[in-house]
Amino acid sequence: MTAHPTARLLGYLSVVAIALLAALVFASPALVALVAPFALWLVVGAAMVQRPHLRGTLTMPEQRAVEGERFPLDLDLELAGRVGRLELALSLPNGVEEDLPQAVMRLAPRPGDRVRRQIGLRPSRWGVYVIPQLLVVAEDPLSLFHFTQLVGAPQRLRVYPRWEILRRLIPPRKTQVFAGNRIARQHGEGLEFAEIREFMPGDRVRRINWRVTARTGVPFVNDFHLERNSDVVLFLDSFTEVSSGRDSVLSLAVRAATSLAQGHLRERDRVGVIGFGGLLRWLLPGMGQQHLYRVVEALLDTEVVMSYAWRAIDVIPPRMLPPAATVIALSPLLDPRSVGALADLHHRGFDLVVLEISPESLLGPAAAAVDPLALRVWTLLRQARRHRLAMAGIPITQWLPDRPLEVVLAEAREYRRFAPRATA
Amino acid sequence: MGPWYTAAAGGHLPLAALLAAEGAGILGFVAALLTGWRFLIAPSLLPLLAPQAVVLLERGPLLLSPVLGATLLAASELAFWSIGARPPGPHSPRLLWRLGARVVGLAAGGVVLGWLVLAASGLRTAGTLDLTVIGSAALLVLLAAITWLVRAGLRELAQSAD
Repeated sequence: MTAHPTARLLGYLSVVAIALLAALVFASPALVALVAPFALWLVVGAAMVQRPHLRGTLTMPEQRAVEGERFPLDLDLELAGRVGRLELALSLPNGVEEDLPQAVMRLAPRPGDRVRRQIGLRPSRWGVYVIPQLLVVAEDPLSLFHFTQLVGAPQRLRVYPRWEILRRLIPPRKTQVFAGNRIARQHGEGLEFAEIREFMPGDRVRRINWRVTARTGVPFVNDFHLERNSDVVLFLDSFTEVSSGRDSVLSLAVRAATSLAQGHLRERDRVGVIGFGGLLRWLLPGMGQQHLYRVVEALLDTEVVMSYAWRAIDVIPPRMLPPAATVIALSPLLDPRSVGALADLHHRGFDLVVLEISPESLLGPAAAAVDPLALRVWTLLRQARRHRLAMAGIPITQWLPDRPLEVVLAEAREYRRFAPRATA
Repeated sequence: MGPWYTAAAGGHLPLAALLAAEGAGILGFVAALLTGWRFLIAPSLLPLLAPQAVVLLERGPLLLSPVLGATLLAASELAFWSIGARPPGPHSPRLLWRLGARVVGLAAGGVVLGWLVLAASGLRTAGTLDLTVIGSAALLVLLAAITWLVRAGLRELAQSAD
């Protein structure tokens, strides 16, 4: 352990030294009586100083946690030597808080004591964090020296976003060729009844509708809808960020994207992710539970990277955007480049839905500090971009952070039902 | 020390200067407690001890002097503890007991030690030996002991750092 003299040692030593000097100069030993308690403290304290030996581990049983849920850190310390006071301090990164708000844990161990504690942590935001080493500060019995040591090794913690269970999703307009849970427009083998038609050579006898056949005298068969899956691409606009300190546009977008990915993968759709911003990131569409974790891991790395480069949709790899894929865009409509890319996607015939994450509510008190005219221009610019997309026939709904995502999706579904069909 | 020495030699006490020293010491203590800067505590002790030193120089040994020293030791220990306990967090109740026992024990021991020193210095007037020399030698031995102990402590700490 690294040793440092305390303010107490230096202070008392100075007081005693000055008193001794004065006693010698004035030939008055009575001055020593005045500082005798301080001198005694130093003598006894120096006699009691002993080098403490510390062995310890700080383990994190789980390397992954979910936003808002408690996870433990196990601390095991073995201490040898005479120690008056032991302080344990963990300086956590922003976004991870201790379960009980405590900066320091103070203990008074006996020689040979073993300290076992469980420190409960609670991540308040998704992301990748480094949990630092635990700082152990030991003091000798009279606190003349303190000894410091770092315990454990820095550990990476991946905090997954908390997702919302969505009961109904945005149904894609077109389905793909793989089997899934979505009822396709095409007829074939399936469970969902579609229509009755005349018997054709090749039809299976078990599909004959005997009642209609008996009534008409001509063989009729039941036709069914195929059950297929669809391709969903989650488009995250990561050009700009608006943050209220605790929540941010990107944070909300990642939470929504995780919920959507979880919902669509449950429906056996293929889900891909595009992080469209200063840095382009993508994850090819895939399906299954394993892919959900791939999506979440990809989303954890999403960050806003400042860039002045003009990005168009052609920078996205073609495999990322399968034909007839449904693109669900999560954007605050703050950057014209992302709005241009969305319009381009729409013109290329992709089934596009835009969930606009409203940044106004995240401004909070900061909005009061901004010039009202500038704020109004900013709001009008966003309205103009929204209007441009809406006029092109793109379903666009606004998501205020205090509203459940389910409601926003319901709005998007209704919009697609009643609004004019998107035309290229 | 010049004015105080003159005051002591002249047989009168500069009351304003003594009060100013006391005030400066108290202000230093308050500043240390408010700012949490523990390095201010020991320098604040000096102006608090200085008037008593002047009184000792003026009027000779006083039985209450070690008690004043012990009181200041207890006050400074409480101030150190108060600043050390600033970051919020749980603490073991045993810590408080240990602190109390050590402060009380060492303050009482310091008072006894102070009285012994006073007794030794009082013998000077009645004795035939030049106790000033003996007392000075004892002080030097004490200083050497403290230095030796601290050096030993530092050497051990250096080894532990290796």
